[in-house]
Amino acid sequence: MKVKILGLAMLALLTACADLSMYRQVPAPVGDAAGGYPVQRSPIPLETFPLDDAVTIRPTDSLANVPSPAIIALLDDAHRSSEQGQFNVAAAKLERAVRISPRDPQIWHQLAKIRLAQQQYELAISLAKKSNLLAANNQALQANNWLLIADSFTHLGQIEPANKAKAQARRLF
Amino acid sequence: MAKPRKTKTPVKKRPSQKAKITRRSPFKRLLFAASLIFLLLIAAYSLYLDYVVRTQFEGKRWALAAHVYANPVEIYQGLALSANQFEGLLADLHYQRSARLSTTGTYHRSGDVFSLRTRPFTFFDGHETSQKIKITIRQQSVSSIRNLTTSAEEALLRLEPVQVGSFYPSHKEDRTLVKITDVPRTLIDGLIAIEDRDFYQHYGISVTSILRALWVNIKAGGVVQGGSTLTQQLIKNFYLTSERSLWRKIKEAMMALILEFRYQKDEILEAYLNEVFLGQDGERAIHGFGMASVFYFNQPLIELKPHQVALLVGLVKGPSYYDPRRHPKRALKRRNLVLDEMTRLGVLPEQQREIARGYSLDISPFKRVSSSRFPAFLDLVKRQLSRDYKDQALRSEGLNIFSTLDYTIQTRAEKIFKKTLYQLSQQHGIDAGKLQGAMVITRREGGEVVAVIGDRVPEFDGFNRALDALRPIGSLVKPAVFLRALSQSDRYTLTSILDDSAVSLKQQSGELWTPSNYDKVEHGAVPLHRALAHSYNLATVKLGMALKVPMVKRTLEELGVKRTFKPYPSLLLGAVSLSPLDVTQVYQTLAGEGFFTPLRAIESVTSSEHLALQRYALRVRQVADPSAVYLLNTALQEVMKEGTGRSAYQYLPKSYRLAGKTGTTDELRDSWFAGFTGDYLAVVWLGRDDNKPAKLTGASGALQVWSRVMKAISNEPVYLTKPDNVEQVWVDSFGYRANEFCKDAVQYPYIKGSAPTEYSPCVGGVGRTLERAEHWFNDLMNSKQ
Repeated sequence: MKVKILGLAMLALLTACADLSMYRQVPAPVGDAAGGYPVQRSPIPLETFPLDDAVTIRPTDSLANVPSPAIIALLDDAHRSSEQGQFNVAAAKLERAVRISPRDPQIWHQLAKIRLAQQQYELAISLAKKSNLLAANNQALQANNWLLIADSFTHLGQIEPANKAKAQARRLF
Repeated sequence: MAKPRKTKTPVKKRPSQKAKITRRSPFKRLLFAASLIFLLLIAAYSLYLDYVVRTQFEGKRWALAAHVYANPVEIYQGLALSANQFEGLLADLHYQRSARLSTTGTYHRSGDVFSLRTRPFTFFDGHETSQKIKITIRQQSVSSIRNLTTSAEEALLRLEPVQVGSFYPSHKEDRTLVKITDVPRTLIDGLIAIEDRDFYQHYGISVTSILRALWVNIKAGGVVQGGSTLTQQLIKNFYLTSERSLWRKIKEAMMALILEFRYQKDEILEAYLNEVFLGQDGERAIHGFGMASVFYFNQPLIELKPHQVALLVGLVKGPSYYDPRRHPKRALKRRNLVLDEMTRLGVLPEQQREIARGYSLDISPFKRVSSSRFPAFLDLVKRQLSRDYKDQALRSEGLNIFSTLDYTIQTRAEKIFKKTLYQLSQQHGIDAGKLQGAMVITRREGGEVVAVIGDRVPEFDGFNRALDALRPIGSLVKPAVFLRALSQSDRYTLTSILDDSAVSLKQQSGELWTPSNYDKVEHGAVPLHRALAHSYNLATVKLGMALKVPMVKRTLEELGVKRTFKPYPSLLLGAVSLSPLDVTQVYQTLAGEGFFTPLRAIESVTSSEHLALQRYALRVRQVADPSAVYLLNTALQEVMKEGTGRSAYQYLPKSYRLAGKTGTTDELRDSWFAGFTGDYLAVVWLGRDDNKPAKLTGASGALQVWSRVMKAISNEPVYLTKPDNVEQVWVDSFGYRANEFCKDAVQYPYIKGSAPTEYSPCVGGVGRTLERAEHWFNDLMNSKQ
């Protein structure tokens, strides 16, 4: 079982590395209250919005989705620090990255990983969930986050949520 | 025979010797004993002095002030920054123009290309070395960062942070410790030339110096020159009182000898450089050359030029007598004397002396460096620190406190805040000086507080309204009511119809409560999103009563309210008193799309030796359903687009899709606005301390401040992340399901399964079939995923 999860994690990691496609989320259209309740007003010219779903399916815009060299440098630094067991330093570097690119789900995922390594499981779960919210179009990263959540729940001894998270991850692969 | 004789002789002599000794005593014996005791005492006293000298010299020598730093600026490719903004930033950091980049902290500009030599700085997560860098700015953004030494492109450049405040020791001594290796050679040479020529030769006291001083003093007929070595001066400042007595002189000499015996010359010199008193700034005493350099020149010591060094050396003799700000002529004369003496003794080449003499005093304009330039923000820092540090430690350990303050944003916001409050007072005929206010700005993600304003005069260190003014929040509470509703997607959607009609409720006291709308009109059946956008009170009260007030209270608490309050129906219209900071915490959860993020003013703390002490890490906790928050946020965007907040778009482009909410309390006592752009969240409160009507609504007051500040600081439109279980559905103006070809049809987000199912008449039979087919197809795709 553990080997299987490890395999999944490796796979997820590979896909996450290959796919950095969550940069620049597409804006959601603003709900527009044009008509009239309860009395109908004179018609207003029709306003249309791009369909969200249509946009999300669109192939990723290669230019906009590449993380900046600054982010890559910080992620690298953080990785090095965490390998040396300097988790707080790694977290500090990742938070600098958040400041530069606040809605990059990859950074939030890395933060979650640091907390997992520090055995701060609840925080790891929250950070992974946040990453998932921002990673709306990146299934590989979402799966990765679910695996991390499953792992954290397992450490917390919460078997049922852990299994649910695993199922979520499996569904995304 | 001889042998026994020989052996006998001493035997014989013994009694005679004995007799001799007994004959010498008792006086000589006493003398002998006394001198022995005296020597022992001297030895014991020396040991004691040795102990005193050592413990203090090796232990913590000084109580060091804690310094608070703003968030450092990080320069990277693509960062929105104009050349003038960048130059302004360098000015904030006191970089000097220099074509040759001769020292750290210098730069050279040619058009939009900057060459600079950065200063080294140690942060929590590592050390930044000094580098020579070329920065090119193109079209208002950084296009290249090149390392001039390696010719490599740098991904990221972190400049040293601006120091924004300090917590001083109780005796108000302020110093920045310097290492001897960080002291310009000219300073050491100059100091030794002027104060103690034989420093490297003597053993703590110098007979030649004493004789020289004596001769000079006899000639002058009074005390003109002291014969003290630097070591003695250090001993005097370090261990002894200023009392003038022979005994103290002896003690000083003994200790000087001990210090010299125990320690290297450079260690003693380093201690002297950090100890010496060099000026007074109000209550704050400037000690050591490190702080003096900042105090007089606003530059680190290592960057000083000979004329500046000479001024500081000259100050040692009398910091107040030669105070360059109060007695510029005297100081200049003294400085030139020092320069001459340095040249005479061969430590300053003639040519350099001529250049140095050509300079004016060259000190930075006198700025009373108050303990904090941003009192409201520093107050927040202190409160957060006081949870982990005792006041004593804060004031003596020399902590480096890395705050989340954004220097540029804080200073810009202050300027705009002040100006706008003045204009509003004029326009609305508010008594001069009566309109007060507060503002909190945070990063939208991460909860870092980047600016705090607590007074209409932001630099005034008084009542901090951002943290301590508790005022009813009015309509700012409404998003909590509507979030509670939208969290129940089986009961409420954005297009649910609410009843905006008169309502009266019996309060706990038995009195009737009959709220009304701001425009005093009942609007009848209104869709939920519009009730929020136009801030209809009656619809909100009815909705809140249906949801149950205690449940709304719980939502408020989940969003981040920590204060206690009662779940009375009037809560639904904002009868809960919160500070601007409390409100910021609530809206942070909305801006963070359902994730509660504790606000932080401090990022990390390091020791005076730059050891990592504490991190205040980014934390999040999901407290609300992101799907419901998504719906709510789209309604908050509608507030700005066509509701009470629309005047913001006079300042910001429509593409910003702002989200926010106005708040106004009875008789216009409080004017609130809370909202966010893509990168920042800000909350503004305006009102009067005496709680009289301020004549401003949320829109006419607080929103004006908010919009102008956001225009100046924000670079990002709002992007909302649509959770997977939210779908966009076309509805007609009556809330029936429609399609894009229907007249007046609009898309709204719905949590899956909650969108209206009944079709509008505008959708024909074909359209309906097509729509169903599309749904069937989508469901199929989803189930395959």
